[in-house]
Amino acid sequence: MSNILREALFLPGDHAPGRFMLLRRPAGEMRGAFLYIHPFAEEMNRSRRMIATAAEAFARAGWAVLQIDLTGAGDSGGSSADAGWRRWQDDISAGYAWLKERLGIAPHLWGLRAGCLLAESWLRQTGNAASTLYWQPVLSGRQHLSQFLMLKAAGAMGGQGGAKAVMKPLRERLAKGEAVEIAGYTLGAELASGLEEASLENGGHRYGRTVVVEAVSGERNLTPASEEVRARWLEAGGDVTWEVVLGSPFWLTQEVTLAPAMTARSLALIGAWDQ
Amino acid sequence: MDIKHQVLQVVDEVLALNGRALAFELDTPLLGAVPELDSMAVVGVINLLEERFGFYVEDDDIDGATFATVGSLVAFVSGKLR
Repeated sequence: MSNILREALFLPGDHAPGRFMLLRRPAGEMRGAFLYIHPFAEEMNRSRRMIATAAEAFARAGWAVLQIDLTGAGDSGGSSADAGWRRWQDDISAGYAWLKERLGIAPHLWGLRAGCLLAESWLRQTGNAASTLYWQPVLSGRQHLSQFLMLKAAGAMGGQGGAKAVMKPLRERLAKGEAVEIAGYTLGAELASGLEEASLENGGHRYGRTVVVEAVSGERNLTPASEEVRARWLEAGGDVTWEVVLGSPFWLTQEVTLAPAMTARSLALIGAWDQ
Repeated sequence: MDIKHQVLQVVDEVLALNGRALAFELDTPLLGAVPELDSMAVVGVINLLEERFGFYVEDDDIDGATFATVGSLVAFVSGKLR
């Protein structure tokens, strides 16, 4: 156990005042560092408290954590219309480079939900061999995009015509390269297609280690979908440990909830990752 | 697999009802009757059902009637699993 040092700053980018970053690190000896990549849209907001408490716990256990707010999300410059899949990849590159330079070690990646898809996409593009900690990863970007579009349909659900009447024109506009407005967010076509194409369904990256932790409320079994991805990943030669703990789905609950077991189990599993 | 129990578990978790949903019956009304069930929560429930049960909701699968009662939601999930 040690004291935590906290540092907040803006990393210059195309949209003033830049990309907001928050670094927590142990005052004492450091075991390693994580670049945290947040979820998409509302899931980012709902998971704030959980991630803050987890990052504090990581830092107390000797792990530095850099949280970066991607362009147009959270406290970074730009609006949601300025967000983009490629731009977010650039944000991750910039945050990663800053953290590596600042601490003098190669960071690992820590993703939550769609943040895991962004991490996968980034690893594939850059060929970086970072190890990854994935929390409740979105397995299918296509499904995740549908769930987001469904927000608009759900708002109209009291009316006639069902979800399709709302979803169809949304998909058509995105296909034409136009942005759509959903639940207060402007979703650009490039971001939508980047998300739609991202997937963990055929397993993940093959370099570095991966720890996946999911939270469930009832029986602690992997869902069939998770089991399948895990099997494919192992088959492809990936070094992946996939575990389930008891905890609330804090990324989507109506009230702020926490899943402390995710933090505790993750710290135990990454204990072997010391530099 | 007790689908009704699992569906109510998901509803309870997403809406943070602290176990209240577990006592719902098949004819308990949902949309318009449970104040916590706004559009964000509807999507949260769909989201968690998809991931827990491993099915995929298509655009033309759902409408307001799907969420009318516990029974209609359980029937929807059973249909997806068939």
